[in-house]
Amino acid sequence: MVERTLWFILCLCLTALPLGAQVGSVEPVESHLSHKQIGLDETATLTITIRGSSDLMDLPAPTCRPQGLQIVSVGRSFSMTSINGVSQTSTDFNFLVTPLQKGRFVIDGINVSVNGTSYTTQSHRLEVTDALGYRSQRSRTPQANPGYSPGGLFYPRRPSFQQPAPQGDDFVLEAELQPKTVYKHEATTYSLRLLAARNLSQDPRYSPNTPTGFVSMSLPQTNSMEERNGRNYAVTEAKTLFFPLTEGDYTFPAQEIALQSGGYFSPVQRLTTLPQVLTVLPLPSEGRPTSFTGAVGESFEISASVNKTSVKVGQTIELRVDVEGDGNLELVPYPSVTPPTGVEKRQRDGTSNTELRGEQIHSQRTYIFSLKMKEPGTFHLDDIALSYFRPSRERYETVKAPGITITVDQGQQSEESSIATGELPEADRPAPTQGPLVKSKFHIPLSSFLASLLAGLLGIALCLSGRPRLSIGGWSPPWASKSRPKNLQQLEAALRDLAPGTDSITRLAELSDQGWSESDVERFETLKSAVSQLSYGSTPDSNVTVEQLLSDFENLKSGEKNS
Amino acid sequence: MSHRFYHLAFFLLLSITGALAQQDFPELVSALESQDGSYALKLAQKLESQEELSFGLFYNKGLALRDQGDLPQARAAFERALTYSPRDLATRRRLREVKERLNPQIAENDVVGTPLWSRHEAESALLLLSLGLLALGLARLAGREITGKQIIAPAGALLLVAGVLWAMNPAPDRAVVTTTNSKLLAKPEGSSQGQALQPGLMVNVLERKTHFLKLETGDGRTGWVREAEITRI
Repeated sequence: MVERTLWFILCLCLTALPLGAQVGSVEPVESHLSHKQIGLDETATLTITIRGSSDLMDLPAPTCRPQGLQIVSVGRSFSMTSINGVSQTSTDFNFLVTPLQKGRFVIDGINVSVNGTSYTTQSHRLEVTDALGYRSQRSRTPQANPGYSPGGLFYPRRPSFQQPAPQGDDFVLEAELQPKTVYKHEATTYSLRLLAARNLSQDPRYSPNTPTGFVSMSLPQTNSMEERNGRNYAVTEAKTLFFPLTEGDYTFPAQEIALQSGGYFSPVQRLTTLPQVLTVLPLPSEGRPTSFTGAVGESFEISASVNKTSVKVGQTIELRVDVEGDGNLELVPYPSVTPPTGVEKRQRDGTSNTELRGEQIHSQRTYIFSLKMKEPGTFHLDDIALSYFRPSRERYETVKAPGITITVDQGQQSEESSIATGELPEADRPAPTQGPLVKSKFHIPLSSFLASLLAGLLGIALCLSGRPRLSIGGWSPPWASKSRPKNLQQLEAALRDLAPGTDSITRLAELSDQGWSESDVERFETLKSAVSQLSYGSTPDSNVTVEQLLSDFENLKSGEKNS
Repeated sequence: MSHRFYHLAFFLLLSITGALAQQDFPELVSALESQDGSYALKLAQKLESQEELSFGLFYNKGLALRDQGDLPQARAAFERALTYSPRDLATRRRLREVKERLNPQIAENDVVGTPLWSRHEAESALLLLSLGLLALGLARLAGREITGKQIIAPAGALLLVAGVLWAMNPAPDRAVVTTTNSKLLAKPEGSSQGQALQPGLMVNVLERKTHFLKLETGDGRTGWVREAEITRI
């Protein structure tokens, strides 16, 4: 019986384990790709959702294998939900995936650090097929993606809202999508308005829920007053611009907001809007220029410049193409740049800036290309253009940059040979070997400086303590050595050390202070006189030698010490 | 018998893994030569995760990142390459190009960069000069004639070398800001208020608290950033 009970408990634990794991397995980092298969003329969105951290400001764009997709960041959106008093933050980083060629690609995961823990996002496979030819039917199924959020608190307004405020209601929530039919890449504005006739006890709680397949941009929230049905309402309005990436019918789900008024313990009131349907038309194929790369807007300007107009064969120049206009250039991977024969084009990084002017988007983007000049001659870059679809006139228009002329001279022999052998320029040449494998240290600790300086100072001190005394600027250290003099100069210095006075009376006083007897002082003076005479070569007694004087000095000193 | 088989299989697996890792580097070089920056970057990341760290890895990773347009990360990779080979001219050239593309004025706010000498070389130079002076002192004690000039020359050299090394002494822990929108926070807490940090800027790392690091910039500003926003050199 006991054994059976134990088995039962064990089985219960084993069953509970995976359940517990499931409950706790809310991944803080998730990624979602809007499509698994797209045409060459379509784009997909990759959304990386970070939960539980509002700290992350930026994520690097994922890479793909093999090359053939352009993945650029198109902004981030932040949302905060509160359930039973527990707040959860969520940040969506959106990337626009534009195919540059046909094929099967793998979009690699990226490493993300959330609250000190590293996570790697899921990798995705994407198949790029032939261009779909801007098909006329509008039958794309909307894809719900609760993780994708537009980033504002609320949304739009304007004349015809679908939920007029019922008479007497204290709070009204309205949603509107304007316009309801747009072309691909053309902006539509989703507005959410909260009308409040009474004060709220706390901020309304709102969790945005929108379909995927859009790039969004929030407009600043506005506050105003409005009279409706004889009542005054405080109106809070939030708008978001949505740029559809593919044609089809899309449903913006009903938005719900939770409010509390009339005190902390009053019941929570929930308001909902009606769902909104958006029809995204394909861009017309009639009159579409070959240079069209996806720009949609009312007007664009283009200009181009190069860093050098005269180069040698094999050299590379940088071409900058600046495009500016009333449309979202984040959705335009590149303008049309057709290099002449003998010039190899390669797209590099660039910069972009998007801003709102009123309720219109205005963007500026710089595309940078490397042009490798492979043949000598004069080249005219006069085919730099941006074609865009203008929705108000329902037609395509093209702007062209003024032409640029580049002169390419015959390069030197070494450059020619390097081109012939396919060798890369020095700036692009990789390190062929691994090189050093051990990292060096560079910081020198203070102790090393101190030890070296102390050793040096000790050396200097020792040098200064020898005899004859060395002095720097007349200074010599007090510990200078008083060892035996070995020659006439050292003997002179030693006598001077004993009594530095310049005349005999001063010296008598100095030596008497040191306890010398009168006879010793007399012997000192005799010795000093003999040393002076010998050093000046005027010795009266030719038998006197330096050795005798040195001996006399030692005797004098030892006698003095003994006395 | 079966134990022997398992040991053999284990060593075989180890050697295959090692051999595969060694193949990745030549593949990285050929990916860069064929200008496939994306694949090269992937291989570089793989080698880095396998701890196959070397000068060549970071130099080539820097090239791949530069070609991908990720200039702050490229700078970090080139700076790391310099820590393996500080006198490599090509790395210093690439680094200068990347810094100019990031911002020509970025060097004004940088902290002290990687010098041309390693710590051991610098300490050897200091030791040589100080021991030279000490030897002169000992010779003097032994009764050899030493002139003032003989002392002043090495003493001056010691002071000069020590001064140069002191002025160009990098901090023990440095990093490069590799994300846009990084801010110097007043406290190691989640906040969005703070002075902006330029991407690609080199900073000193002073202290660590959880996943926050205290940084010091070249112009003397200090503050906290999240570890994920920088790359340690």
